[in-house]
Amino acid sequence: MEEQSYKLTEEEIEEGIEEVSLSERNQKVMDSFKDFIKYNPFLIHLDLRQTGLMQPAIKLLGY
Amino acid sequence: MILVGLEMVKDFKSIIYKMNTVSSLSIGKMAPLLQKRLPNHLEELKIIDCRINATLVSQLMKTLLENSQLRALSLVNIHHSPESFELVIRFINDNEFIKELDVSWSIVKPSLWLNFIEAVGQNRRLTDLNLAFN
Repeated sequence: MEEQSYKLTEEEIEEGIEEVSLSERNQKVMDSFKDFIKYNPFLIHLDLRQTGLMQPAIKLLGY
Repeated sequence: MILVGLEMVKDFKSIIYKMNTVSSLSIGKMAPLLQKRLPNHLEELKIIDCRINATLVSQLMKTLLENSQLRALSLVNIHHSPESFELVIRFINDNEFIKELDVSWSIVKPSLWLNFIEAVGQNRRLTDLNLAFN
């Protein structure tokens, strides 16, 4: 059996993103957050220090 | 006693409780202040690192749900019960005046955060949201 590699592929390194899927619950949370940020024209300040957001979640917030 | 006096001050705008004890009596005396109408309304209530139990938080939130015109609410480092946190969520959903919300350092069951975030997702009025250290 082939040993599974945890190293990033060259493409992933180039993109700087490691794809990790979110659980359904976390996906729901992130979708709500995305709506809040995207559709709230009055938002000035959002503090998410140490809220345990993973990299894919942060990526999702940006879109 | 201080809170009773504040009720008489016409343009009193902000209450900040920090590292103090919030009792049932304080919440009761605060109620008339919280329900003052524009332009004499209370704008800001901050409860930071205080000794307050979840029942009192529920009592406070129920008072706020009765047409409070508060602009900024901070509930920092508070131990919520499911009921008290559900009332915070209802407050976000129902209140038209709240613009700044700080619930950093909250102690809440993780499953309740989903409801909270869903309520926030529907909100189009908040200008400042602090969820740090949760």
